[in-house]
Amino acid sequence: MRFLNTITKIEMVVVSAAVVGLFFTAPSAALAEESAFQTDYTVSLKTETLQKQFQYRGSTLTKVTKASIEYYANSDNQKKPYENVWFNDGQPIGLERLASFGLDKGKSATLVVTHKDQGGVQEEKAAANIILRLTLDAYNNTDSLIAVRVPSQSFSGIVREMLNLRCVDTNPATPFEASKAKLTFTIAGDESNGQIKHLFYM
Amino acid sequence: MNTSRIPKRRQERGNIIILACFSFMALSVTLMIAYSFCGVYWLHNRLQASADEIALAGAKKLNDRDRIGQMNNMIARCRQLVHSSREDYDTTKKDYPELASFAEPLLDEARTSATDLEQERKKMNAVIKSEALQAMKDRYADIKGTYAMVLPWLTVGTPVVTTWSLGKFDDVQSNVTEFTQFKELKDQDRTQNYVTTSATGLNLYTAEKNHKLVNTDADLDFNLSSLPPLVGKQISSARNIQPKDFVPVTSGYAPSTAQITIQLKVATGLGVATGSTLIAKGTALTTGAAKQQ
Repeated sequence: MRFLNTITKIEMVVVSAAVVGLFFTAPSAALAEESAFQTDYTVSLKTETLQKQFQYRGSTLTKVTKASIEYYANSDNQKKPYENVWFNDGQPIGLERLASFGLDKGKSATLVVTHKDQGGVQEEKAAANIILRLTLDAYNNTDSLIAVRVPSQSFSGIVREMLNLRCVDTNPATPFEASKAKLTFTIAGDESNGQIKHLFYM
Repeated sequence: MNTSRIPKRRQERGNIIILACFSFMALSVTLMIAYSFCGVYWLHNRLQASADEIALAGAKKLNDRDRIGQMNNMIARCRQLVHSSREDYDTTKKDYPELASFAEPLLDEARTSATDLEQERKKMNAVIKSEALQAMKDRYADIKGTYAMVLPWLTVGTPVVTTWSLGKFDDVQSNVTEFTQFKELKDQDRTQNYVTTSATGLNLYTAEKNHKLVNTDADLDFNLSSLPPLVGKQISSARNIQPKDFVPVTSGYAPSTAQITIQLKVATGLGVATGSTLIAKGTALTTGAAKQQ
């Protein structure tokens, strides 16, 4: 099992490096983006801002958002619920697990983020936090979250929030080796306008 | 004198007038006594209605906008969040130790949320108690001025509330249905008697209990208060209940019922002055939990 885990970890590093390499060397960034997102599963994350929550004098629970997570195999598109997570001002305050993380082991997944309404700062904070948590869930299930596709209007906000959550950006001014990162996140906008960012957890 | 010559009719006429006068007096007294008793009876009914109204005003405020229901649910969810984060951290530490530093902050923020939520719960409890008592006092202030009156057969004073109490409905658990997806947590909940099956067949988390996790996170508090749950789509409406169903709420938990005792002095003032104190007790249950978002 540990041998298989080691192989999976090496594969993940290779894939991550390949993705980064494709981004820097491929003649078409769109081609690199497209091939990076062909995965076995899609994990869907929908955020919404909740109204009329915790209404009492002096309440600090005033910025409540809910993140609903489902997944499906790209071969059959049958959505299955996973969990709901609630946040207050970007901090998780509650979780309701609906079913086990049913991705087959050793598979790849794309996380697609959508907002029920307009999005906004609170939902961007929630989305960034869930990206980290789901990455860990996938990792523990020996799956890999290859890429995250987010609404274009939330792209910069989610990237900013992930930087606040201990991720780092590439810095062309200093020597950087992507292969030394423990985790790699590829964030892309949902429109083909070149919005793509690689973040790393060192 | 020979009275046999006086007509018999003239002798009887004088007796009827006297008899009629006495009868009229007796009837008047009887009527006044009857009015007094009816008045007292009517006043007692009115006093009971006022007691019910005052208690209901307080009860409605308790779970106003489903704040107790939402808090109960979020506390139960926070418990799951901590358990899930701990599970992830333990698994990561064992299988991918190089990522433990990635998982640990996620666990820490879950634990912080549990502490913060407990503080919010205590704050909310203080607010809802204060608002419920104030609502009852306001309703009492509206009602008390409408009682006092002086009639020939009845004197009515101003009602006085002698006790204001907040409690819970006996044997009602929390509104949160058991979460079953984490097997270890589910087994722990059953072992610790954290779950009670209600009369409607729902498995609900036990009210007025600290649902502590049985592991490294046992230092955290997860307190759930009593509140009628949602049954299907049916929200339990705020309503008056029997005083016998009212029990004191355990300190530190949110109340879900309100009760008052109200007294009213009345006197009939007929002949020897008679007076008594009418007592009524009003008890009401707050609105049950709504569907959670």
